This record gives sequence, C-alpha cells and structure tokens, in this order.
Amino acid sequence: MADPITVQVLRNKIAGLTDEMHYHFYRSGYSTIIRESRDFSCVILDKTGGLIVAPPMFFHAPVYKHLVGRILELYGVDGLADGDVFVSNHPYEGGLPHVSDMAFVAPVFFGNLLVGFSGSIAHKADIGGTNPGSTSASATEIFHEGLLLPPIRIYEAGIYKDDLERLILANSRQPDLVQGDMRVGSPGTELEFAL
Amino acid sequence: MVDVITTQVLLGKISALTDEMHYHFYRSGYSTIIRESRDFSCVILDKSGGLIVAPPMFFHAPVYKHLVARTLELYGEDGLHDGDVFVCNHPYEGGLPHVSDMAFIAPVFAGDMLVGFSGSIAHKADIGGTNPGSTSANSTEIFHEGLLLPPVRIETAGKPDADLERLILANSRQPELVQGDMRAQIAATKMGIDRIGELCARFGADVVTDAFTAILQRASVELTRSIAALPDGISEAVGHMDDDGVEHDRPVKFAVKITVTGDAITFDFSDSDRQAKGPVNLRPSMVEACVFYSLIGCLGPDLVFNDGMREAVKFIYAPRTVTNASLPAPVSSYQKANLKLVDVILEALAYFKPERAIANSGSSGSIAISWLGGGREGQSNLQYEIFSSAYGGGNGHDGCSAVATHLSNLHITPIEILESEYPCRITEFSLIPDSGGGGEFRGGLSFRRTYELLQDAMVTRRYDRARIPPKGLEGGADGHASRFVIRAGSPDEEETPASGRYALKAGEKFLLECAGGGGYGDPGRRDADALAEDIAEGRVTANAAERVYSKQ
Repeated sequence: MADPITVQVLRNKIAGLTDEMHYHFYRSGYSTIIRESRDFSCVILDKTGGLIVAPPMFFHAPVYKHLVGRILELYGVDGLADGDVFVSNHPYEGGLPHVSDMAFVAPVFFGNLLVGFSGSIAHKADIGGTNPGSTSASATEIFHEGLLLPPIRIYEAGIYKDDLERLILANSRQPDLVQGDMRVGSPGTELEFAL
Repeated sequence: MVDVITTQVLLGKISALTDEMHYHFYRSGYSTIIRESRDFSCVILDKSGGLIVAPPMFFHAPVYKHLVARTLELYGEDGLHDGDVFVCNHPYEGGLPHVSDMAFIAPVFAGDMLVGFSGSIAHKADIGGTNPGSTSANSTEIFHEGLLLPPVRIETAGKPDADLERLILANSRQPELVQGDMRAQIAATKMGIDRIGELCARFGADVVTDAFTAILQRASVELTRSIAALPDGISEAVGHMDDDGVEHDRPVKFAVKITVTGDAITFDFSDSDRQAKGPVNLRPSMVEACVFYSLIGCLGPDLVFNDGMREAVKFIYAPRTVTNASLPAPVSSYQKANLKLVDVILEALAYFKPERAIANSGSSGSIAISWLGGGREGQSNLQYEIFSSAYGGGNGHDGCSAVATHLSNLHITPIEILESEYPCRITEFSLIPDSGGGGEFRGGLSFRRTYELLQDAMVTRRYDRARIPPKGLEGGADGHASRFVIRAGSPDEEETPASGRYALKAGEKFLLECAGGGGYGDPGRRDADALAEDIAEGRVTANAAERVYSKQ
C-alpha cells in the first residue's frame, strides 16, 4: 500500500508527464487543428482504462474508459503485447465523439505486468465521407461521416503496420496532414514508455 | 521451350480450373449479387499479372494487370510470401471499375519460385459511402462512394488479418453479406493456388510458366495478324450519354479515332469530354476492356483475349478526361459509360470491317432499394439488381432481345427470388412491343418491369438513354428510350431522368423500361416474311409496321 505522500508525488508526476505529452504533440502537429486549435488530448490510464488525470479537452476524459473496455473485450489482457498500439475513431465501438477524432492507446508493461495504458485522441483534418473536412451538418448516417476504424492494432509488438497507414491515408482528402498528425499522435503516446 | 501440345493442354487446364473457381464461388455466395447476378470473376495470371484466360465478366479482364503491377511496385517480388493474400478495391491504385468491386490476389509459388497469381473480383453489397448499396448516380468525389482499400495484405504467409476484416466490415451497412462473400471469394482464390500447384507438381513449374508465356505470345501474334488483314485508314466516331448524373443539362461526349497502318492499330480517346463531375468517369483499365471487347467482336469471335494482346494495340489518352480520370473523380456508374464507349468504338471499327457493323445497344442499368422497414424477416434490407437491355441490329442479323449486352455479362435476378427475399411484388415483366429500332435488321426488344413496394423504400436508379436513345445505323431507326416512372398509376405519377434517388412509400409502384436496340439499314428493305413474323409474335404492332416499315 503506497503512503499518501508517494501517491501525491506520483499523481503530480502523471500530471507533469501528460503536460509534456500535450506540449510535444502541440509543437509537432501538422494541421492547424493540432498546432492552433489544440483539438486533442493525451492521457494516462490504469489497466482497466481508468483515467488518472483529466486533460484540458475535458470532454475526451470519459471516452478512454469505453475504448479500453472494448479493446480488452476484443483482445483480452493476454492478447496485448508490449509495443502494441491500437487505433480507433469509432463512436459506437470506442465511444469516440465523432469519426474525425482518432484515438491511439498503447498498453504499458513493467516486465510482464500490465501497468496501464497511455492514450491520445486528436481531430483529423479529413477522414473521407460526404464533405471535405469530414464533419457534417446534415449527415443522416454515420457512413456519411468518413472512414470507420474499430479498435485495431497499428503497431503489433513494436512493428508498424504500413498497410493500415496506407489504407487510412487513401481514405483522406488531406493525406499529408493526417499522416503527419498520426505519426505525432502515436509516438506522443509512447513517450511514457520511459516511466 | 514447351511444345505446342503441352501448351494447349495447360491452356485447357487453366480454363477448366477458372470455371471451377467460378462455380464454387457462385455456389458459396451470400448476396444475390453473387448467387443471382454473378457479378464477379476468377482468374489465373502470370507472375507479372498477365491474364491467361478471360473470365465471363469480360470487363474485369484488363484490371488484374494494373492491380498486380501496383502490388509489385509497393511490395516488390521479394516482399511476397507463399500464403499472402492481397485485397484492393481502389480504382486509382488498382484499376478496379469502382469501389464496390473488391479484388483479392494471391501469389502462387512452386518452392521459392513465383509462378503467377490467382485472383478474383466481386461486387460487394455495401462498402459504406453516401448511399445504401454504395453505388451512386450523383457522387461528385470518390470519397462519396465508400471505403477505399489500396492494395494491402489481408493474409500474411497464411495468417489472416482479423483486424483488417473487422475494419472492412465496420464500414459496411451489410457486414454479414460482405463477410460471407469475402470469405467465399478468398476460398475461391485459394482454390486457384492449389490447382496451379498441382499443375506445377505434374508438369514442372518451368513448363507451366513457359506455357503461360507461349499462350500470351500466341494471342499477340493472332491479333496482329488479324489487324494486318484490315485496310489501312483512319476512322472516327462520337457518341453521348444523357448526362453525368450531376450536370443534368450537359450530355457527356465519348470520342475515338482509330488508325490502322499495316499491322499496327491505335485508339486515340483524346477528344473525349473533360472528366465528368458525376460518377461516369473511366479508368484506362475500363477503356482497355471496351477496346479489346470491340476489337474481338469486329475481327472475329475465334480470337480469345488474354493480356498478350496488349502488345498489339496502342492507346492514347488526354489527361483528366472521362476516359482517363484523375483522383478524386467519382467512377461509381462506370458501366453505362463503358457501354456507350463500346457503341462508339464499334461504330468507328465498322469502317474497317462493314460486315461486322452493329447499331447501338441498350446499355446496362441498376437499382438499389434500401428497405426502410427493415426488409423481410431474416433477410437483407438491401435489394440490388442489375438490368440487361437489348442488342442493336447488325449487318445481317436482328438484335437479341432482353439480354445483357456487350461486356456486361450479367444475369437478371428472377422474380421468384425478389418476391421471396424482399418486400416487393413484381406486377409486370414483359417485352415492350416496338422497342427495337426499325431497320432491315431490327434492334432487339427491351423489357418493362413494374414493382409494387410493400414497405417504404429509398430507391437509387442508375441508367442512361432516356434522352439520347440507342442510335440506329445505315438508315435504321433509334431504339426505344429508357424510362423510369415513380408512383406509377397514381395521380402523382412522375417520369424521371435516367438516374436519380427517390423516397417512395409502401403501396406505391414504380416501373422501369430498359432501352431497346437500334435498327440497322433502311426499314423499307426488311424482309416481308420477317416483318410478318414480328407482327404475328407481337414484337412490332400493326400501327408501327405501317408507320416505320412502309416502303418509300
């Protein structure tokens, strides 16, 4: 059982490192959505997806629990490997606000022990769908709003799935911006591996 | 070097094994698109993607070469493993007709040697996009037409990528149909791998690949020889579609200039319209399909297509035209554009071989009905049908009635299947008298179908030839224009353009009439017995006989 002082120190460490994740993501973003609007969040979660420190984009805070819940349902704790990174933008599969918001979550292991997850959600410039920019004022089905990504692996035990990136970019009207922001989003997620 | 008898035996083997692939896929399909329309193809390719035996769905034939070339460009021959399966539906990355057509290709190895590829393409019930059923009459970007899959691996060295399958299904309104059809298609593709493996074990991999080369070379030589027999010259033709589904007051122009010099032939499409705003754009793979189909039809049906024929034909395109579109131009309604282009190419080719001339045919259309009440219990809520039409009259023969024309070799869905699986009644299905253009050789008759809706529905109709009917040739009359009438028989009855999307209510009816074939030659010269038989059989009414066929 950790004493209250250590708990408070660690709580501040987590707050400090999520600030660091935010700062680096913000400074590395390609689209104005990241580097001006700052429409993203970075978080640390416990091993069931419980959020530890809320991000400035507060409404992302309760999303992560749903997303990790679904990943664990699909893959099981035993199906996760060190170096995995999952991607999802699916409102019905991962609780994301809309498909423009793309989430990355990665399990954090200490030895063989699953400690928690690192995660981020960021709005993408364009992910297909009926309108340029993907967001819509008059869509009548989610299929009008762009590419749907249920939780799937984009890194598998440290190996990047180029095919999946190519697929995602093929569905975007702004592949350069999306690629730049995606690549920032997943290493941003990895920052805390040094923890 | 392989001897000619072994080559012929192997050609027969490849032909039979692709039949086997087709049969098994057809019997395993989940959607009516597979098990009724048969909107798919299965093939065997050499190691550069050269097609060995053309499938019944002829217009898929030239696609595979583009797809394999792009796959090799992305992965390199060294990047392919035994047990890999690639998936792609991308018109601009893989040459696919539209995103609804999903291709699988798998390399075939004998030991460490790449022998060739097994492949298949099949239409999927729904792959997302703006409309249920994914196909569109008025999309303005390819991003409206559904999920885009560039060539990616769905199995790596025998291990299926469950994540990718889940991603694809998440983007479909009909995940069960798509999953069933995808798995059947992958199985049919693997059947090709097994059978080629058996041939390599029996004949030797070197003999099999040498036979591939010999088969392709022979087709090139045969085509070149047939072209050499044509007179030298230049022939041009132009034709128009009603519109592109978006700019409704603007016909879409297709133009070809054919030049024959000795044994060389060139098809120049530079004068075709700029790329359309609506989904009637073609990729070069489709233009190639139209050219090879028309060439074989003109030169002689004993010629058999394979990719060796590319050696004998030169293509010229202008950039960003309807015959050579660029991203993100929409392509969903490519088939009616194909069939207009075939009419135009055949008209130009008639100059070189008048005895094979044929008037315009009735093209091909489709409807997608999204049943808003959920459809019938336990059945899909998406009804997707592809319609045939009728052939034009030719120099020496009447046009065939109520049949899929030219390279759209599909089957009409039977009434019994429709009524048992979907909440509709077909209250009329009949040939339309006088719909074949009059001529010495009459155009084929088209047909009418009337649907009574038992639930509310969103109906997407994609067709052509309501405003510009199939043209007659050499004095023959035009064929019957197509019609689509919504709320038929009610006070709100409305005649619509050839393409559109309509919200209809339970109890309402719509009727569709496909376009008839154009006539060939002066109707006044029609054989009196043939005309008498037409009247007796009800193909031509007495009134029309008087009006159209009276001797001047």
